Amino acid sequence: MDTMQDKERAADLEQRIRCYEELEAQAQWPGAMGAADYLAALLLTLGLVVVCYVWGCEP
Amino acid sequence: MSHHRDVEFRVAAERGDTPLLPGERIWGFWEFSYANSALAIATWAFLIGGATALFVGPKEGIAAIIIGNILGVMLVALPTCLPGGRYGLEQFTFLRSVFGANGSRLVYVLAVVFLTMGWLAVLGMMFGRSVDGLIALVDAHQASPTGPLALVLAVLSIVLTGWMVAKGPTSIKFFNMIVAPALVALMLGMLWMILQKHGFAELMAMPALAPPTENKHLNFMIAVEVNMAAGFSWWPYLGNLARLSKNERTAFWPNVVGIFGAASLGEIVGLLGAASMGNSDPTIWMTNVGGVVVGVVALGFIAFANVTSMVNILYTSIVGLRQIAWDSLRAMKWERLVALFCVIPVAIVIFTPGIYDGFFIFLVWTSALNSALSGIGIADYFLLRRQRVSLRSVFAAEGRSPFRFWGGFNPVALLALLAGFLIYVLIFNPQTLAASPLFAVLSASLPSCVLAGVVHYLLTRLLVIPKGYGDYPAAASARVNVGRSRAADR
Repeated sequence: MDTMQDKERAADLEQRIRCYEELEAQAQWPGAMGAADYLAALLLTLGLVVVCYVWGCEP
Repeated sequence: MSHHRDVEFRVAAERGDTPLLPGERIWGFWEFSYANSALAIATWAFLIGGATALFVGPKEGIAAIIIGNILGVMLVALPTCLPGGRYGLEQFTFLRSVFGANGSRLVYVLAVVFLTMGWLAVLGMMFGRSVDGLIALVDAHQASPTGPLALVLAVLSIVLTGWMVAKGPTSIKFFNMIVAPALVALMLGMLWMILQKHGFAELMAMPALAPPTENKHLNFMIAVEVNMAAGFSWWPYLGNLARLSKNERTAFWPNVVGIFGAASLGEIVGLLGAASMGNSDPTIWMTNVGGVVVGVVALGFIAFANVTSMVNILYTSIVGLRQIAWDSLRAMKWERLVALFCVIPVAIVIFTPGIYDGFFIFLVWTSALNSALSGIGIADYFLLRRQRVSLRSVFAAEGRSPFRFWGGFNPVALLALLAGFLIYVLIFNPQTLAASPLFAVLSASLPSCVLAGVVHYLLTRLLVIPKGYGDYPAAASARVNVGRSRAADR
C-alpha cells in the first residue's frame, strides 16, 4: 500500500465496512426479512406445489 | 477526497470491488421486479417449455413448470439474494466466506463459465435455426434446421455477440429496453393465437410429444426436474442483481414476480405452442402458428432477442471473471478475453450440434451442481453464521483472511458440493434420464440440496470451527474473549 490512490481506496473500503458494522450493532437491521416473510414464502411455495401437484399430476 | 475519487469509488462498488452502501442501491421492489422479468423473459423460456412438452401433456406441463420453478427460485433466492440484499456484496466475493478465495474462483468456473459457454452454443443454434426458418418461409422452401446454413449462422451469431461485447456495455442497455417488453408482447400474441386455434379444454387434453417412459408419474417428475433445473440455473446470476436492491425484503420478493412469474409465463407459452403444433422446437412451431407474415416477424424477432440474451450472459460472465481472476488474467486485454471465451461455444456448435435438441440434458447437469450450491449456501449463511458475515474477513488480504481455510480452498464445502453432485447423479442420471425409485417421490435436486447442506453443516461443526477457520460465530466469540483477557492482563 504505497500510493495515495491505494490509501484512498483503503479508506473508502474501511468507511463502507464501518457502515455495515454500525448497522449490525443495531437491534433491528432495516428492511430485514422477518418471521412473517419466511412464513409467507414457505406457505406460498408449499401451496403452489400442493395445488399444482393435485391438479396436474395423474395418479 | 475529491469528487472525482468519490465517483471512481462508487463505480468500483457497483462493479463489485467493494460492498455497495444501502444509500447507493438503486432498486426498490418494482425496479428489481422489472429487471428480473427482463432477464427471465428470454428466448430460452420457449426452449424449456418445448422440452416440457416432450415429457408430459400441457396440463401436467403447466403444473410441472410452476412446481419446478417455485422450488428452484425460492431455494436459489435464499442463499444468494438475502446476503446480497443485506451486505451489498458481489456474489463471488461473498462466497469467499463459504469456499475460500480460491474455492470461490473454482465455483465460478464450474457454475458460470461452463453454463455460459453451453447457453451461448444453444442460443447461437437457436439464432441459426430462426434465420434459416425465416429464409425458408420467405423463399417458400423447406427449412433445414441441422443444415450447413443454420450452423454457419449459429457460428456467426457467436462471433457477432463477441464483437458486441468487445465494444462495451453501452449498446446492451438499449437493446434490453426493447427486447423485454417486445418478448412479453410476442408471448401474449402467441398465446392468443394458440388459444384461437385450440380451445383451453382441447389443449389440456393433448398428450406428451415424446414421453421417455411408460410411467406417467415418472414422466411428470422428469418434467418437474427439468423445470427445477431451470429455477436453479439462476444461482450464478441472482446474487449480483439483488445487491443493487435497497434491502433484504426488496432483494427477495421481486424474484417471485420477476424470475418465477415471468419465466413461468414464457415456459407455458413454449409448452402450449410445442404441444399444439406437435414440435418442441420453437423455431419450427412459430412458423406454423400464425402464417407466413407472423412467422417471419416472430422468427426475426427471436433471432434478434437471442443475440441480446447472448450478449447479456457473455458480458456478465466476463465482468465476473475479471473480478475473481488472478492478476495475469485480469491484465489480459478485454477483446482478447472475449475472443478466447467464444472459442469453446463455437467448437460446441461445430462438433456437437446435437446439444440443441437435447439441451435439457445440459440444463439438468447444471442443476446437479446448482442445487448442491444452494444447499451449502443455506446451511452456511442461515444455520452456521446466523446471517452474520464479517466484511473485514471477506476483504482481508488472502494470506491473512480467516477465509483462507486450507490454501484458499474450504475442502469441507467442496466435499459437500461433491456429495450433492454425486447423490444427484445416483438418483437421476441427466444423460440417460435413468431414475432410481427415490426420484419418483423426491426428485433429484431436493435430495442433492439437502444432502450438500447437511454434509457442509456437520463437517464444518466437526472440523472447521474447532480449528478456528472460517470466522464462524463460535470461533469468533472465542477469539473476542481471548482478546479481552489479553487486554485485561495488560
